Amino acid sequence: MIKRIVIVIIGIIVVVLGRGFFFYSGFYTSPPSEITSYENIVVPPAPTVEFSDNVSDNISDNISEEKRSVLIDLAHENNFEVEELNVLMLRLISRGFNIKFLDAEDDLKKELLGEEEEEEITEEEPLEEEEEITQEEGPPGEEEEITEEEPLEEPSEEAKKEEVEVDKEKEDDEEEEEEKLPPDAFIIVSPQLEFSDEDKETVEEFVEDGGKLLLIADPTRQSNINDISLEFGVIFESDYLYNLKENEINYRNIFITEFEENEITKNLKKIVLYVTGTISSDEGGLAFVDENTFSSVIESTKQLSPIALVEGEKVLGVHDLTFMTEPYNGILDNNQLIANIADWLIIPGEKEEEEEEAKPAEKG
Amino acid sequence: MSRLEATKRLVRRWLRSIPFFIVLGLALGVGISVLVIPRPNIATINISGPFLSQAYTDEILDTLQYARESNNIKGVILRIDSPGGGASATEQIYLDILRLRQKKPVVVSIGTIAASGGYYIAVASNFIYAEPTSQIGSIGAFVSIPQPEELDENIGTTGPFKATGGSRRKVMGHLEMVRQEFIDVVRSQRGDRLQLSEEELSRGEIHVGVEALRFGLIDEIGTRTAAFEKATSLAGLRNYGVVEFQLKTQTRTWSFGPSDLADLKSQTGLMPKYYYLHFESR
Repeated sequence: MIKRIVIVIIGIIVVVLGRGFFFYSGFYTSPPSEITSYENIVVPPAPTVEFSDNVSDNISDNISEEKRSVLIDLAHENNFEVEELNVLMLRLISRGFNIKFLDAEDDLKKELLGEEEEEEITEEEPLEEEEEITQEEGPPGEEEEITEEEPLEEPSEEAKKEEVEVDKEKEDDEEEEEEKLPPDAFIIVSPQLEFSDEDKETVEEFVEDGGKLLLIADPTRQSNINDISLEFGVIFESDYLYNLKENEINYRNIFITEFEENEITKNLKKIVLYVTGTISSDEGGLAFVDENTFSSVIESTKQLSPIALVEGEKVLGVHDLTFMTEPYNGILDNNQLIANIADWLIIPGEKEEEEEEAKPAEKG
Repeated sequence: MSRLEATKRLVRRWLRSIPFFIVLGLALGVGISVLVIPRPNIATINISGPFLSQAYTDEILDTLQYARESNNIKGVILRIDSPGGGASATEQIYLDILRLRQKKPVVVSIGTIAASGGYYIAVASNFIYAEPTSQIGSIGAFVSIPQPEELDENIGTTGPFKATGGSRRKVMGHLEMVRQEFIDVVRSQRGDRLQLSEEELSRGEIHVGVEALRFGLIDEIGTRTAAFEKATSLAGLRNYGVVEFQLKTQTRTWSFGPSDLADLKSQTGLMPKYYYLHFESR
């Protein structure tokens, strides 16, 4: 009987093995499991730097007593929110500057060059008018009674009110006069509309007269900045700069450590620009990217610069707005750069009148 | 002696004879072997189009689980034609393929495209085939940055980031972590085969098949047929059947165009969403 059972078992084994050999030639051995070491994935903290905005004596000397102003363009469907310039505006206000805005309905020439119908200004004699008002409105006979020698009685409430009104009017007139003064600087951020030929001439004239022009664009925002920047030989390239080796948590947030010596780059060691592009100009590059930073478009070995200062240091182009906004202004020396730009804006530029006058003389 | 008696005797003799036990053994052997050694199958799973919906992701995961647990399936061919998908969906599929690979060989055959998340899941396999002009790479991720929170007096929160999860910069920091994770996944799975540095991988470039082979992103140029041969070889199969899984919820298109991206942007809420997805921006 055992013999027969063995035969059956052998029969079974033969068939099972046969089937096994029919289908299989070997066994699968899984490769060693390589699991990502997730605990090693970390992000460095933001390299923030303590900053206090101290206006240097050199700058203080250049701030005139009379109230001065900076005009910000909002007339060209500018692709930004006013709040995004808060940090720069605060720096300007702390330097005694007034911020004015150019709206679509405003006349650029009037606002920028302060060109008014002079007759109106001369005709208006506010002080005399004020006197007239007091004379006319004062109670009859009161003037004769009041003499300089005699100690004055307590002025009546009406008189006090009148005095306050007069003071207010004076202040208003002074403010009006100040407002009529041309601004010291003009800031254009990502304009989407083109500037008319007349507007371009006005801006050029403003710069020739010593006005400062700050042009800001950002690769992440649609803009027509080159329409106006080309007037000053500056091109905002349609690229963005990136660094895959060393960056501020993203390849498009680049560090800049190489600066041309200038007022705008003073005390700067390292800044971060958050999605910036190249600015091309014949000369005037102020901040240069390192060898690991590349342009998304330009394949060139020349050093790329996202900041340029041209036109006798009166026109500054900056190809990033984000670094000026919270909280990115607090990273590394960005606040210092904003303060430097504010300082630069308030120092009057050189007028070009002398050169123009000199030219015909040379010819003669 | 009747005829019946004679037959009975003959049967009794036959039942006691050796040949009977041989036949019995063989017959039992057939029955047992069918139970013990079922016909092995190679399963093919087509992952096509972006995996953005949870329904599609779940179907892929269920299929992978079935393939892992089934005794009949001895190897899996993943036919990938995908630009990727949501980060979470991608990671789920990737981890499940890794689990499957522990038991059975997984061979990937890339069709037109295996970009971003499509490539992420491919690296979990044992072997990657692609066609000479397959589009491979786009290693990296993107995030839909959340809208700033609008304060509402009627909604109370216990912390400044309760509604948004974190600041804008923090989201960008997380995106950087997601990038590092993708790079680590590719480096750990491709090992010495990879010929690209971290910096080169981070560029997010798309490579055609021949280029991807040179860079070690894939193992060989080949089609589905080659993938079958490789899978059977790794599984140690001589003969096999084929089981094809047709996923019901898969999208027909493999590309992710500008209109799809616009749809995605419109869905941006307060919380950030991460994607391993290659998209055509214009």
